[in-house]
Amino acid sequence: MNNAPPPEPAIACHGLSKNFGPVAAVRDVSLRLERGRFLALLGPSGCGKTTVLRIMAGFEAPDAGEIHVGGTRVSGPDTFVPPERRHIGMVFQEYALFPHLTVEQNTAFGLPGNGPRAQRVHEVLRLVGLEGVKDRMPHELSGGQQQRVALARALAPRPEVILLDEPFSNLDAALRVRVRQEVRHILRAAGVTAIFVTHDQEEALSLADEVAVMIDGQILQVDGPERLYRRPSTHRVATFLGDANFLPASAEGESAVCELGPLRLMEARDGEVEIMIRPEDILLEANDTGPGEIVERTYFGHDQLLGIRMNSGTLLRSRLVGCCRGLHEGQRVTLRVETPVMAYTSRYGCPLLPNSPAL
Amino acid sequence: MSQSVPLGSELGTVDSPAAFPPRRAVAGGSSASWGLRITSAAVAGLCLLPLVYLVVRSLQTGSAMIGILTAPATLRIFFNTLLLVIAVSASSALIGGLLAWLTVRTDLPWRRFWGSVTCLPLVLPSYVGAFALIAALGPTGALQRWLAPLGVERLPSLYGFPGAWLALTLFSYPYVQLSVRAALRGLDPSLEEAARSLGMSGPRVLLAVVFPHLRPAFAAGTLLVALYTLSDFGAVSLLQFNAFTRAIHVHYTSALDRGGAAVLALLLVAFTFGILAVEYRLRGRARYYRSSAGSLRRARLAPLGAWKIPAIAFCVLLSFLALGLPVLVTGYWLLQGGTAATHATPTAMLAFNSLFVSAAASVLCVLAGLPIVIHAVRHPSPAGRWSERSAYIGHALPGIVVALSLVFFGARYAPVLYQTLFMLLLAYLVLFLPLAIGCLRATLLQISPRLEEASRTLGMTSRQTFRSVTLPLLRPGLLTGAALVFLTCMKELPATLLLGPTGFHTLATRIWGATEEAFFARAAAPALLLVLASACSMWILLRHDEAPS
Repeated sequence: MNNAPPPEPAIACHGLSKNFGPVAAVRDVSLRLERGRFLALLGPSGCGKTTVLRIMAGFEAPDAGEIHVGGTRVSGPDTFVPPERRHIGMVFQEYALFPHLTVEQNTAFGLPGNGPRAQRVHEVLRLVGLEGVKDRMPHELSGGQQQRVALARALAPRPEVILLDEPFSNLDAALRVRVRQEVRHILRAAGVTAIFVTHDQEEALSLADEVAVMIDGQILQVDGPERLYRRPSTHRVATFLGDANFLPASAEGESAVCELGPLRLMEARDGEVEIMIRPEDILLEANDTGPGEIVERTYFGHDQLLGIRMNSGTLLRSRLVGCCRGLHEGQRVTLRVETPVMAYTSRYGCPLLPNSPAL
Repeated sequence: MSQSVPLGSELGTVDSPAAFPPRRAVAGGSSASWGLRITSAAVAGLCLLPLVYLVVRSLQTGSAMIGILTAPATLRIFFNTLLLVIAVSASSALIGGLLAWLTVRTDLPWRRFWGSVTCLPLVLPSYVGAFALIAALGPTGALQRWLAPLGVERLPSLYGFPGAWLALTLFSYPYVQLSVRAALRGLDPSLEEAARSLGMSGPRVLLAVVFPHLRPAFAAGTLLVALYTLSDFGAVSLLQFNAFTRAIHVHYTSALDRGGAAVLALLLVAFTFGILAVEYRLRGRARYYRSSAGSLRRARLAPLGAWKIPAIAFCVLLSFLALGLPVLVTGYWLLQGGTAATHATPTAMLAFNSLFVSAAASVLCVLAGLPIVIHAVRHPSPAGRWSERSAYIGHALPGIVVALSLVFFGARYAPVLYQTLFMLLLAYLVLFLPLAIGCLRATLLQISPRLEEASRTLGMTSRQTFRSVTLPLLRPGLLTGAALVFLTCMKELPATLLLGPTGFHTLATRIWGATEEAFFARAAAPALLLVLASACSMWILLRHDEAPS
């Protein structure tokens, strides 16, 4: 994102804002996405992410800002291209399949009457693996199949960009992982550019090339999944993406000293900082004279979460994979962090640690 | 007429996955087109016309208005109406409540059967009921004929208050029954069990626990009965009880001073609005009382013991009076009809007239309802909401009031249209548009706006989207709405009477006219046809209720 802008992104928006009465739903949102890439718009419910999607699709008019699709301006101060002429496909949360049309008719809906219509329908239905059910009605399909019909229908007219609104939220947990993989394969195979909205960080991190974190109507950070998880730009982004421990520390260049001793920093800092350590980065060793005591243990099977009360009163969380090596409640431990950690200099208005939330 | 329970509008959005997330702007950036706004405003304007003009016309009577309002005759009419409303409400509450309890909470034999049968009278027009009562029990009715060989010259008079009370009670108690039945079914039996475990006896539980929970349902049902009584014209006029509706009609047909009728009509509207206001407030609270949704355990049935026989007798008597009598009497006079006087207009012609105006009205109502509903549901805005509310005015206006106002308006401002079917259709539109809107609205709410948006992202304009997505999905609502309007129009009496062109008779006006002149045989065939039409409307209503939502 920091490079010089390559020519003609598939979709770009700049300075989008939208108010609903007194509520600022979207505040100064800018995004750009290159052809063929997937972007996840990740945020808690009510953060305005769906509104961004609906503004892009043309269902809402922004109060300010511009949108370009394939280099053409579709929304701006004096421009408003209606949704049907934006070349943007959309997959709705509830799929919105036309209940009075068959799978085939649904898929053909957006294709012009003349031209190689049947061939294109056949092509996309094969892509999503639903040729066998083309004569069924939507209600005769499973949730996963409906999802793929919605995808096929949106792909059929070869849109510039395809928008997916919480695409997996209507599927049960067992199905979700599988459908996610399928959808990714289909979108890759179609070579399409996609933006999808989700509140599930795991979904965003596992599916997208880029993740935009949106909270309270603002985009706080846009980055690749790993970088976003390892180097969240703010305290809020860090906690939204996963479990995180925060500790006060004093930094000097590449390292900082905190309760756990000296740690390496990802970026050089100086002075009072707050460092962020992911629970899986804290390694434990049983030691009867260690500085912490295990006060809580939650066992999940493939991993476990341990709560450690430090002598100072600070509560830390550690996630361990594998066998438990005699770590039980009441056991004293030493704590070790081997990976470099993030440090934040400014104060982020978060509750500080002695009273950090209980496990 | 049918009670719309507004529960779904609040809970549905939260509970059922089929509901749509409450977005701030459902249809988003595209606000209603000017065409839509203008048509829905125009329809709303038409609906408001009768009420507005009634006010204008009443004010035109000037100082005479005060005179009419304070005349002893007016006062008498007011008290007559009040008496009738109170009496019918009380008896309906008693009968409806008892039936609801018997058919839901006791071991009454065949209680499901009795539960359905005793609700049926609701769909019969009151004047058919009145016709049946008069033709059976009236001075020269069937009963008198049978008893004549025994030397019985006259039966005690049915006319006046007793007849009106009986007829209206028989045809409106199901409002209470339905409402209380629903509340009884929704009542959590564990409340009663808790009371019993706290040492209360059965009857005390009924009084202290069950009844307080049913009170809102009783209130809602009884108020519907009151509204029905207030607006009824057929039974009241046939049974010659001088309540508002009859007085208005008499004033209109006999008195030279038609302004008097307008003032009386306005007074009736005020009365109706008063009751509606009470109903509205109580309905809001009734929601509060409803116990939690979800499948409840079945309550234990109270054993009737020796009371079984009187209970069954009660059900039989009611069903006989409210259903059996109309059918039997119609059949009897139909057989007698062979010897009756020649008809001015053959029944086939009457049926054709009824079918024709009703069909025209149903198409009109659906077409007029469509822009209103789309505007209100898809483009929520104050204008849309007000259009919809205005279109609902017909629910609050008695038919005679709408008819009277349009008669005045037509005679003065639209002489070309006066005495044509156009004015009659306009009255039907005002009166029955709410039915069409209700069906259309319910159906449109089931159609996710996402479907329309999906169509837009696939390259269809809003017009194409309406044609290829919205309209096909709206079809069931269109058909149900049209059918309901059609069947209700078939039964409509006062507007048809006042606004039909000279010489234009329908089944309804024939039954009324023939009964008034005691030519019962003439009324029989039209009554039979109307009973059949009513049965159809019941069937449609039930089907509509059962339709998966």
